[in-house]
Amino acid sequence: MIGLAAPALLIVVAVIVQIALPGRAVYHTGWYNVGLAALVIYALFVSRARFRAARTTRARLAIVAIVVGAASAGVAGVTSGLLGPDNETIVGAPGQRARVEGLGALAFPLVSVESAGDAAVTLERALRAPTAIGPHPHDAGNFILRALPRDVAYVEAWDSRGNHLTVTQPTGATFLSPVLLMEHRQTIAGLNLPFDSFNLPAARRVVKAVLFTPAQAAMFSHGLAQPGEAAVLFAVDDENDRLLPHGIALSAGGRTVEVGGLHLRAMVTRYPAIEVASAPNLVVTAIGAMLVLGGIASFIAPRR
Amino acid sequence: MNPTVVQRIRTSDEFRAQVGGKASSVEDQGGHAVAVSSAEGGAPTLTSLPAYRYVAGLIAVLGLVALILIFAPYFASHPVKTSGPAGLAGQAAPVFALYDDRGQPVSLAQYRGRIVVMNLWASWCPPCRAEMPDLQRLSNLYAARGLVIIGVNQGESPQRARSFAESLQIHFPIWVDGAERYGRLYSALGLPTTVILDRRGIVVRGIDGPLTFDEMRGAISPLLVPKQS
Repeated sequence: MIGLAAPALLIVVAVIVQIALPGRAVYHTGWYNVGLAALVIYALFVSRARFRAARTTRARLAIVAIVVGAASAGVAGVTSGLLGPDNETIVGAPGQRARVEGLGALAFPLVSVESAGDAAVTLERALRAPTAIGPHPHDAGNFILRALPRDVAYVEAWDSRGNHLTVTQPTGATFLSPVLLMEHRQTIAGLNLPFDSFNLPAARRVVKAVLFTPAQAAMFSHGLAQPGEAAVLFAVDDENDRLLPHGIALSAGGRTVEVGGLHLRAMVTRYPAIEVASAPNLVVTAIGAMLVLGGIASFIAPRR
Repeated sequence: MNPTVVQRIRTSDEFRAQVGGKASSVEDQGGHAVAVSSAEGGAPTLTSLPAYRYVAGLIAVLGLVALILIFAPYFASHPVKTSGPAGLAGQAAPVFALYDDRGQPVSLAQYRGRIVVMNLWASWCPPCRAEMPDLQRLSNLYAARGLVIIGVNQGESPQRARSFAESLQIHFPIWVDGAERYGRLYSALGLPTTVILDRRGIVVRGIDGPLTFDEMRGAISPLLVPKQS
């Protein structure tokens, strides 16, 4: 009995760990999935011998329950590891809808700069009610989702005459958006910093924006940033990517700065991105665990 | 099975024909359902045969459900949503308050019951400038049939939007979307972007790029058909 129950329990525990601690790269590795598949095959092999040796229907049903449960959970785990996509963090601008293959669409809410930190991204799936995704893991079939707040910058630009300028992001996920998602990183003075860029077509300018956390801003801003203020360093190029004279300035605490003939302002706020991790199906794992435990209990329980 | 109570074993058919007393246990042998009668009473009894069948059936069903749940998402065909402004077709147009170029609060909600052509534009965009006169012409032709054209400036100041509209003798409403929210909501790939809403406020089409007058007329003509009473 132990020869069958042990691998079955091991499979169920491994798959539960995949759900409880989602997003680990190890679940997609070959050796992990080969190991899990080998356990399933071993359980099937052992169950065959045990089934033949069993003398009662009750014992045979218990063996079938254990092996079906272990196989269900194991197949769910291996399928998730091999067929499921690698972990992905979906970063969207407020108002944007991002499609996730095999899942549905994520709607990033339109919010003001002040309330961006409280925004909840909504998962929209066919035939189901929209669901808000919070910081706690949310089970969505073969996926587990959770919100990860991250720093973004809302920028505004004016020309020298005070005309408000359209901000575009030709290389970003959304062409028309003043919200910089800061998805790229660059090392400056030993610091690995997030950065983004945007265009001001009316002024024929390209602006690079590097984000500093409050601690980094306090270290490097030489007093331009007050304690606790995040800051954005602007570098303004012309349309031929040449840096303009006086084309670098730091905007801290949402204050407007004059740089390269423009007036720029950046307000740093938190806005959620969504981490999507493939995971074994929760319902299948529950069924598998139930069958395995039921089968084992049937062996242990005294016969009437 | 307790061997002391086994008297004889019959096939399931025999058992069904003869069963009448209280069952003590049921065994499965050689692929047949069999019954065991008690040594004391002699009559074959039945209590646990259906229970075992139910359990076996339940295990099979649960295994099948598990397989379906595991593999269905990988083989199910997911509707492919078009990216860009066409992606919102069929959905209710998002409604939020904006201001027009004269500072008056405006909203799409005030145009329910009318066909709305919403054109996202900016003054620095040459194709936007090129199609503005055609939009005005469309407005002149079909306003009486319930068509409203709205120009939604993306990211510029009200003054710039107004002076641009005046320079082109545009008379349809001009709204100012300083935070470019419509641009994000409709996943605009560039400017101009045109969105057509039906009388219920549902997005019928989202079109990327400039349109000729004939293309505009062709896009709205299905909506101009008078409602059947």
